[in-house]
Amino acid sequence: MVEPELIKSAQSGDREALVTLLREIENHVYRTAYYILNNEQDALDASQEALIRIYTKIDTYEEKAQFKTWVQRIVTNICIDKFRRTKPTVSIEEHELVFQEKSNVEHDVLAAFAMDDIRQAIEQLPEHHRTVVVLRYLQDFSYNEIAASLDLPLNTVKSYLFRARQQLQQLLQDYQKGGVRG
Amino acid sequence: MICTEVGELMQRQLDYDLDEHELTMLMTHLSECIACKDLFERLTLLSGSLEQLPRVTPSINIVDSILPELDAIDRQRSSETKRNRYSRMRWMTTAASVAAAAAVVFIMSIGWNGSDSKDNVTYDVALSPETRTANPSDITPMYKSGDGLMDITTSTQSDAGQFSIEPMSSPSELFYNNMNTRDADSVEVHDQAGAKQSRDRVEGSQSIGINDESNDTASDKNDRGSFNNKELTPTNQGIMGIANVTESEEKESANTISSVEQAEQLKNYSPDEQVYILFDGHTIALYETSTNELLRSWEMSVTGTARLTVWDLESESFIYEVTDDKGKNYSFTININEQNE
Repeated sequence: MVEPELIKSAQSGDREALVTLLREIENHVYRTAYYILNNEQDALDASQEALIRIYTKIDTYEEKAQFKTWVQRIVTNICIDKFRRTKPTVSIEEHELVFQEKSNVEHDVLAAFAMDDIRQAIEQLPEHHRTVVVLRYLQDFSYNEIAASLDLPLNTVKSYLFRARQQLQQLLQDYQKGGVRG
Repeated sequence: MICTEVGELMQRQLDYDLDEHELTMLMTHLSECIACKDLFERLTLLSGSLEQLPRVTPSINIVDSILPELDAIDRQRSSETKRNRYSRMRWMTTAASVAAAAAVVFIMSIGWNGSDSKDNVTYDVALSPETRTANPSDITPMYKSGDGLMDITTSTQSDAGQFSIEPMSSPSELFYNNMNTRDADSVEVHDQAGAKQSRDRVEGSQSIGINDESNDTASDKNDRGSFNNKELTPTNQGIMGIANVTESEEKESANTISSVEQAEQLKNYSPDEQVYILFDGHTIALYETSTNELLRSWEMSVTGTARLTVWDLESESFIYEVTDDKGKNYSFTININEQNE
């Protein structure tokens, strides 16, 4: 939680306060970028870009929004832009088709999911689904905070999150059964 | 309760969003439906795994890595601020010089009418307190103040030789008035042929006269009414005094600026600094400040030396003045958003 006084100082032109503020949010910014982009170098690039943008746009932040959601909006926008530039678009319908075909999967007894499998599965999600999952699980955001960060209606956030989990559990189950990854 | 309805309850339970009643409904269904129970177990396992994803940290200090770039941003901002300040100062100096030069030209032209006409010339001038001074460098440029704007008009009609400087209600009014374009001759300010001077004052304008005792005007601050009915006669002594100051200031300034600054000074920035104009031979060119891209250009209808008189506050139009080789001055208004005729 960034202190409001620090934000005010940064907004009033105190460069030292602004740099301190960037240091406080650096890890949060990187974590989101890392899990959305699933690549360390891309995450570093996106984090740098996001922090520079925050540095230059700090005066546009208004107190009516939570600072952390404002920050996450900036970093997720940058990540989604990068994501679109580097990845072919995967339609939600495509995923749903796959899940419908395998919707009656027999119930295996599941062990814990491997972290690598989870990251691989997250990478398969469409951009907004992925972003919602990252904000929910890596930033511990509520539905409302995710909605504020992504400028989406609350019901859309829930819909994306629910679908994303449905898709993830399906993908992970496929992985455990030796299905194709990536 | 059917399985599809339970799906949302399962999902919301993963986010700790169910109330007690909803939780009871979910649990009741799960105890009766093996498929949903299995799905809920997998989702719970997934959600637990997602919550345990490592809170990765960057391998480098990202803020340290961008500090040079942040410094560069600060330097750029600082130079932009200076440039803006410089631009405004240059603009103010230019506007003041042009205004002073125009005033000198007017006064001289009237003065040259001969001794018999001197006493017959009326100068109707209404100025805001900020502009009541004979020192050209102290004249407030038009775009800085909506109050006290001056509409300098002359014509070759029966009252030629009389000019009035009237307060305008808004900057745009000033320019749109001027854009009711007269032909070149009608806006020509030096034509003295058939000049028939008049003592008539412009109705409704607050008027003062101008003379070589111009310091008098500076003492009349805070009382516009006190400027009325001071009708005075210009003399060449007073005029030349103003001209000398203007010339010496310009020479001094020209000696101290570098070639880059000279090039910069040729740019006549709009008040919002989004665009600037350059006078190049017979052409007036409009450029975008950020890209230096040529946006529009206009051919001048009069051959001579052109210079900017003033931009309007909205940066939508400007007035420029051309002096032809016979020394005649012409004033034109261009709206940068209007199509060429």
